[in-house]
Amino acid sequence: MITSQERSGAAIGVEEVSRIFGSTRAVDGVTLRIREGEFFSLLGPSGCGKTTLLRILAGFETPDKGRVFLRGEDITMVQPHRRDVNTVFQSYELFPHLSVAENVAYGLKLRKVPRHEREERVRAMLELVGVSNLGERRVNELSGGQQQRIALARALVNRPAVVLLDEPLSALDVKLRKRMQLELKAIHQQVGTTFVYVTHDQEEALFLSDRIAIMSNGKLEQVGTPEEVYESPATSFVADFVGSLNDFVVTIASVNGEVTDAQSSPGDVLRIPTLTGRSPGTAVRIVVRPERILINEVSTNSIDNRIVGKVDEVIYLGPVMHVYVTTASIGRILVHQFSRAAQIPTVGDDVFISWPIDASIIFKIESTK
Amino acid sequence: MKRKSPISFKNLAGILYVGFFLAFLFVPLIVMILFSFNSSPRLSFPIHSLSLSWYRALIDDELFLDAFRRTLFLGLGTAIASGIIGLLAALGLVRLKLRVRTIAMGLAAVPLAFPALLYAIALAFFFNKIGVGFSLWTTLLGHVILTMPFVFLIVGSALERFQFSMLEAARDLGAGPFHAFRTITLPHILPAVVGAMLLAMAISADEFVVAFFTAGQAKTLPMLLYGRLNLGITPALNAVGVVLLVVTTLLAALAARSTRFQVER
Repeated sequence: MITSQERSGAAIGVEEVSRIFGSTRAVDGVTLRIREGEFFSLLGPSGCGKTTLLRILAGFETPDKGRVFLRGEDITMVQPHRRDVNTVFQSYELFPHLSVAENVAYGLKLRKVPRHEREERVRAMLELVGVSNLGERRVNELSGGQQQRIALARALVNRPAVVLLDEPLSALDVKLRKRMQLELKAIHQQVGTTFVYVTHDQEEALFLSDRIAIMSNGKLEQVGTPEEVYESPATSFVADFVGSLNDFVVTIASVNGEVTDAQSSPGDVLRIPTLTGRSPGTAVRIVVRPERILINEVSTNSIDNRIVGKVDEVIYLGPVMHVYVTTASIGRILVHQFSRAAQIPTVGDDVFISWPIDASIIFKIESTK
Repeated sequence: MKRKSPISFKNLAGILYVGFFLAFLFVPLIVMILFSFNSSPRLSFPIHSLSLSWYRALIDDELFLDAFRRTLFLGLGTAIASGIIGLLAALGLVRLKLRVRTIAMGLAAVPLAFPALLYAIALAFFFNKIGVGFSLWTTLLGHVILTMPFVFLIVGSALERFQFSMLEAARDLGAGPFHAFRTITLPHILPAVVGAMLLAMAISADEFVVAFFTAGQAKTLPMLLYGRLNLGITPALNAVGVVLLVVTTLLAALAARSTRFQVER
C-alpha cells in the first residue's frame, strides 16, 4: 500500500488500477507514481494497455478497480474536464472551424483567463513551439508537423499539472520525428511540466525519457531509467523489446566463486556471473546485446568469453554492420560492429567472438507457455 | 482543359435536345411570369403593355394576404419543429452502432418515397377519429411529419462526417459536455441544420395535398390558388404563382448554398 505521503510526492499516479474490456484485461493491476517534472514514458507493443492507462489518467476511461491520484488528490471519479491534465492526441484533434490562436486559447477561455493575458499567453506559447507566425491560419492549412506543435501548445498553454502525450509523433515522417523529439525534449526542459508520453518506439522512449515503464499484456514489466531498462532488463520481455539481442540457453557446468562456467563445445570458453541458487546442471537463459560482442580473427586470452564461429552473413547499414556468426556452442549470434572498424569480417571467415562476463544478462527458464 | 471542336451534326443534335429539354422545363414558368406583368386581363399574346396591377391587386386582396400569412406561419413552424426534432434524432442516432444506424437511416428514408396523399388520408382519418378539428395546427403537424426525414437524413450524414474524438479534446481542455457540443459539434453541423430547415420550409410552402386534407377552412397559399382556379384562370393567379415561385426558389437556393458550404468544408 502506498502512504498518503508518498502519493503527495508524485505528480500523478495510479494504484492497483485495472480496466477490463470484455474478456481482455487492458490494464491489469498497475501501480505507478510519476514524479513532479519528470518526462515519463509508457512503452510497449500495440495492445499492451499503455493508451488505456493514459486515457485513465486523462479521465476518458474509468478504472474497474484501483485509484488515480493527481498531486495527492484522489481523482478516480473526476470528469475529464475537471482534471488539471491536458492531452496531446495522436491525431491532434485540432478544431477545424477555429484559427490556430483560437484553438490554443480554447482552454484559457474556459478557465476565464482575461482577454489580455490570454492573448499574451497564446502568443508566447506559439513562439515556444516555433509557430509564432501561424496564429491567424486555419488548422487544415497546416502540415502535420505544424499541427503537432499546435496540439502541444494547446495543452501546455493551460499550465496543467501533467501533460499526457499519446504517440504524438507517430504520424510524422522519420526525419521530422527526430527533429520533433529534440524539440520536445527542449520544450520539456524549458516548461518543467510533468510529461507522460505513450510510445511503442523504444528508441524514442530511451532518447526522451527520464524514466520508462515497459508494459505487456496490461501489466508493468519494469519501471526504470533508460539505462536501467536497457542494461539491466528485469524480464526477458523487456530485454527483447528494448534493443536487439542474442538469446540462448546454456547449462551450468561448474561454479567457481564469482564466475560460473557453462557447458560449451571443446575449445570454447563460456562464462557468466554467478547467481545464488544455480547449481551445476541447471539450464539458464542468457541475453547478450549485439554491440557488446567483439569479433576477432585470432584468439585472445584477455577476454572472458571466447567462442569459435564462422561468419555467415554481413549486412551493411551505413555507420554499423550487422554480422551473423554461426557457433557450435550457442547457435547463430548477431554482432553489431562499426563499419569503420579495423577488421571487416567477410562471409566464410573463421572468427572468435568474445564479450565481458558482465555483459551476459541471466534469466531463469520460464515454464513453456 | 476541354478541347474546342467544331460543332458537328452529332453535337448540334445534342445541343438542340438539351435546349428543348430545358425549354420544356422553363417555358411554362416564363409564360406565367410574363402574363403576371401583363396589363390586359386577356391571357393571349402579344402582350401590349406591362404593369404591376395584378400584384397591386394581391396586396389589396385580404384572402390572399391571409393565405400568405398562413403559409409563412406553416413554413416557419415546420422549419423550427422539424429542425429541432430531426437534429435531436440525428444526435441520438450517432451514438448507436453502425448496423443500427444504417437500418434507422434506411427506415427514415422510406416515407420519402410515399405519396403525400397517403399521409394526407391517414392524418385526416386520425384527426377525425381522435376528435381534433382541422386547423393550421393539424396541417403543421402533417408538414412536420413530411419534412422530418429530410432534416434527420441531412443532419445525420453531416454528423457521420464529424470526428467525435474532437469532443474528447474539448472535454480534455476543460469543456463540460454541453459547452463541448455548443462550441465544437454545433459549428460543424450548423450549415447542414440550417440547410435542412430551409428545405423543410420550401417543402411546406408549396405543399398542397396534406394541407387540403387537414387545414379545414385555414386555406394556405397553394389551397387558395386551387380555389381560384375553379373560378377560371386569371392573370391574378399568375401573380400568386410568381410569389410562390420566388419564395420557394429562394429557400431552395439558400438551402443548397448552406449544404454545399458544408460539403466543401
